[in-house]
This record gives sequence, C-alpha cells and structure tokens, in this order.
Amino acid sequence: MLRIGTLLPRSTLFPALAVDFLNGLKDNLKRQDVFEQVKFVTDNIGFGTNEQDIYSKAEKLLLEEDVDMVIAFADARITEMLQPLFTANNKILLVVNLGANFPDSWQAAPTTIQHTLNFCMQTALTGKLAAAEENKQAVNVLSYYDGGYRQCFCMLNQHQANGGIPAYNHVTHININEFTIEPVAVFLEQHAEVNTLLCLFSGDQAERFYQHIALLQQKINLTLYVAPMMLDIALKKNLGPDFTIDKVKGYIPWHTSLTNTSNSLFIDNCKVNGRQANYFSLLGWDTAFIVTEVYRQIITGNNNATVIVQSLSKIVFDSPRGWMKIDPTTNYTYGPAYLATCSGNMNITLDKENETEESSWETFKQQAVLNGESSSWRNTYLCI
Amino acid sequence: MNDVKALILCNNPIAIPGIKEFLFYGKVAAIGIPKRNKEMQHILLQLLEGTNVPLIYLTKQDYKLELTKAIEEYGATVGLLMTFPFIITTDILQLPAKGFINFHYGLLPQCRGPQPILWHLLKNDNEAGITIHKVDKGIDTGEIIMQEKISIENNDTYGTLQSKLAFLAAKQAANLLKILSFGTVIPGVPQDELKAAYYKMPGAKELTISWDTMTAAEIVRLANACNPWNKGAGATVEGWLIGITEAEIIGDCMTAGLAPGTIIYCNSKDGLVVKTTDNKLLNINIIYTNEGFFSGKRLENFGIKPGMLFN
Repeated sequence: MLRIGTLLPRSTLFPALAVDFLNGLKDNLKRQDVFEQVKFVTDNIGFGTNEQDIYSKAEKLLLEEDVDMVIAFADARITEMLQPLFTANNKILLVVNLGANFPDSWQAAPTTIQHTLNFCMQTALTGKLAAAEENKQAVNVLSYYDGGYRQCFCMLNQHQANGGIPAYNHVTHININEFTIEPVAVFLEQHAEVNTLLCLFSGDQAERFYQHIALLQQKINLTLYVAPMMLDIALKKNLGPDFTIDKVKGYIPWHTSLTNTSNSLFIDNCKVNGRQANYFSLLGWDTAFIVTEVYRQIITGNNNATVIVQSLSKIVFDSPRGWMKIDPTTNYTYGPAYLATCSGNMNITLDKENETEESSWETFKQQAVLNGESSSWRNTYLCI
Repeated sequence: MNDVKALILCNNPIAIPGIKEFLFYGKVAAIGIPKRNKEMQHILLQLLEGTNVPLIYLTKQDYKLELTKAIEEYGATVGLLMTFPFIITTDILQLPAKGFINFHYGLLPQCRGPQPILWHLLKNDNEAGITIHKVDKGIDTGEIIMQEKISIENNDTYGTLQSKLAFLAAKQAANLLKILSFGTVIPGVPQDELKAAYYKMPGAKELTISWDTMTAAEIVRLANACNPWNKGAGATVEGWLIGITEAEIIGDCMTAGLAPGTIIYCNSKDGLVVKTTDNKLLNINIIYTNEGFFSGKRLENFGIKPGMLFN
C-alpha cells in the first residue's frame, strides 16, 4: 500500500481546482490499476498563503501519518522551504501547479519533483512570437493577479529580447467591479500604428477583458497574444454563444482537440464521468503516471526516494499533452507547447506546424536559469 | 510557531546579508564577534543602531564563558555561526534548545575547512555554494540541513564569489528561519564521509604561480582566487616579488624555444604579456607591488623588459 499525503488549496477564482485535480488523479490511478493500492491522507492548505500551516501539515504527514510521498498543490516558492524536510526523511515531495511561477533557484532537490504545465515556457514562446509582428511596439495589459506570476515576466521579457518594444503598460484592478481597459483604448486610439497586445488574464478577469477588448476590436485592428489561461476551454461557455473575437494567439500546453490516444482516453474518461476536462484535471491525470511509477518501484523494494526520483527522468510519460518528461537537472516535468489561434466564438485551432520539440524546454531553461534574472510582484495568495 | 531567538557569531562581512534576514524578522537575541575584529565591529554597530540587539565582543581566552553567559542572558534558542573562528565546544553546543547551526560558504562534504571559497577556486571547481548544517563536535561535519550551488564563472574572483555567496546565504537564512519557526525538528542529512575532504589554510606555496607547471587558465584562476584579499597571486621577476591581480589569455604563443614565464611584451602598446607552459599568451592586466597597484604595462617603468623571466 502506497500512502500519499495531499495538500490541496481552495480557490475563489477556480472553485473546482482541488476537486478537478483529485478526480483526474484518481481516475487515472484506476486506469493504471493501482488505485486500490493507494491510501490518500488529505489536508487542505486554505489559499496556500500560510507557510506555517503548509509546513506544519507537511511535517505531520511525514512524521505522524508516515506517508510515502506528499503531493502539494502549491506555489513553486514554497518548495525551497519544504525540500530539507523531505530530503532528510527520504520521502518524495511532488509540488503541482500550473507553472505560472518559477523559483529563485532551479537547482533540483534530490527528492522533489515539480509537476507543472510550463505556463512560463508557454508565455515566453508567445512573447517571442509577438515580437515577430511587423510593428514591434505592443501594449502590455494584465490583471493585478496575473502580474504576480513570473509568466508575466517571461512573456514581456521574451518579447523585448526578440526586438519587441513596450509601448504602453496597463494593469487592471484586482476588484472586478473596478475593471477597466479604458486607458488602453485611449492609447490605441491615439496611436494607430500600435495594434499588438500582450495579455495576461485568468478566470473572471479574462472574461471581462475579452468582453471589453472585443468591442474595441470592432473599431481597431488588434492582434492579441495571450497567456494559456486565456485559451482555457471554460471561457467559451462563460462568454456565451453570441461572443466573438478575432486574431488571438498563444502557446498552450494542451487542448481537448489534440488527437493523441492518451488525450482521447483522458477526454473520454472525463465525459463518462460527466466532467469537463481542464488544466487541473490534466495535472491530476499526469500526476497519476508519476505516482504509478513510484508505486511500482516501492513494491519492488526500492525505498530510496532520491534513486526513485532520478529514475523517473528516464521515462517518457504517455501524457494527454503528447508526451511528458522529467528534466533531471531541475526535476521539473515538461511537455510540448502548441501554438493555438482563437477566433469567432472562442473557437480554438492548433497550428499545423507546432513547436512541440524538446528544444522549447531547453531554450526556456537556458533563458531562465542562465540569465538568472526575473521580476514580479509577490502575490500574497495562491488562488484568490 | 516556535520562538526563535538567534545568537549569531561571525567574523566576516560575508555574514551581513544573512544577519539582516534574521534582524528583519526580529529574531536576533545577540551578535558576537571576536574582539580584535574592528571592521566587523564598525559594520555591526551601524547595522544594529536602534535595534536593541546587543553586540558582544569575544576574546579567545574567555569566549566559552562569555558565550555561556550570553545564551542565558539573552535567551538564545539557537546559535548561528557565520564564519566564526573559535571552536564551539560540546558543552556549549547543547545550551541553546535548537543547538548550533553553521553557515559554511562552500560545498560539503567535499570542501571542509576555514577557506572554502578560496579552495573552490584553487581546485578549479566548476561549482561553489552555501551549505547550512548542524554543528557537531567535528569541524564542518554535522548533518546538512540545506545546500545551494552556484556555478563558478571564469572571471569570478574571490571577491565576486564571496558576494554571490553572501546573498545566497541570505536567501537560505530566510528558509532556515521558516524551518526553525514552523518545524518540530530540524531536518538534516548525514554527510557522506567517502566524499569528504578537509582543506586547511593555504600556504605561500599554494598562492604562488608555478610557471613551469601551471597552464594559463590555472594562472588566471589563481590570480582570481587571490583577488582582492591577497592582492594577487605571488610571482617573482628579476628577484622582485609582485602580486598578479588580474590576467587574461589573449592567444597562442607561436615563438618556439622560450621558457614558460618569458616576458614577450612589456610596453604601453602591447601591455605585459607572458608565455605560459601551455604556449598561451597571458596578458597581465593588473599587478600589485609595494609601491601600489598598477596596470601590467607600467612594469616597463620599473626596468622590466621582454626576454626577462617570471619564475
């Protein structure tokens, strides 16, 4: 029996986050035929802001519940605090999030795996893509919430590193009732030569942004380069059947329309259970692949967490993303980046010539690790 | 949350960023330094102004008694060593509830001893780092709590590497403070004794260039390792001892039959260029003499000419 501790957050922005993640995890564990061999000990960490709470609960799971591994759906920044605890206890820590942040240090801890959807890599690619526009000037527009993540830095940095020029910056208010892009509209009306926008929004802020920008797009020819959460499939439903938008582009880690077998299984499984596949259930689904491998190693007598984690980097996991690997120098999971375009009623199509090579991750890692520089303001919350 | 009150013992400005982290959160009971260290005294008196954190001056004769007293008087729950030169004996180790923790500005277990930054450079290591470990009765032998590595760049000097590690230590200090505050136990991993190595203070021989055996890259690394604290790597020309503070490889030496250490150029146009044992041209940019720091080409004014030999 594999004992797994889970530390899950709650989120106002994505209320079903923890449930979707757990469902994805459990469903795929059943598919892998190991669900019955796993015992979950679950605890919640609120909004994931209280470091003392997270540390105490992780320590309790290790020392009192004697779990074999802990899955923490939490920000990358808590990892450095928890690593020594897990290394000393020879236990695996699997930190899961969307990958919208990255830590100050990329150094791999021997028993820690960072499982993400590489949002920072996706936004870096999107920023680079936007820089290929004929007019290098762009308006950067983002929510206060999204600006607290380093995916914002990645997009803007790669835009500028590839010749892009920031023409105007606008950050919307955290309070949805005070949301406005009026300053952006005024700027664009006064600067007809600027028609590129770099956009980072999530959840209801993304909806509100699309509603406003769609009206503006009727007057001004605009191309929107967007973060993965702005191509989230839930937006189509939330924006309604009458909503239309044009010329939206961005790299994403996964989409329901991917035709690989693993994705079909994943999508079908969600349908059978009356659920909509999304980024969070995908994270859970892929987590199950890692858990299954850990289980297989433990039942064969390998209880060395460091050795188990090292061995995982030799596996190509059959993810709905197309593939998923673990980078041995950082212990980060990574997968493809797909260029998506969105038009009409939030209809998303994947580009035929997609950048799905492993080189995307390597390039991103070199940029992030070697430059060693980044900036963001620090959110005092994980998911509001 | 645990009540953390640290007694911080230090002897080098490299400790300052780490100290600031603990000060920021109000977790310092007192700071102790060797009484003879006037530089640290000056820095810390400024830093501690208005904080109510006492600065304790320790002498080699009485430091054990003084530490025992300080731990009790200021209610220290943990001792933090950040480049402290005196040995903490077993009886003192046990006085704070959470024991003593050392900030070792090098990688353990492979680089134990008092000058890890210097030895990482002298050994031509690719990586240096900060290791935070529990203190036991040995020197740098306790369980490792956390470690972070950084790459050593080709142009890193002792000074630049020290600065990088000082700020890395500050980040790790923040993590350590969380562990001390939130945890019931301090996690630690025993050091792998098979990989352990102890390096004592280097002597003059190790800090002097051996022109017959050292490659150009090794000479550059030695000069960097001695910059700034030793003013440069030792070298002798015409019986005159100088320090080579900064040098760079500028190309290959095509002239055959010259001994390593032969001066190829010494003028204001070409600079001071020396042949090395691996047939490289080494441009010596900055030197130190008793008369001061100079650009290499200025040796021309002291009568140094092409054809003369460094040995």
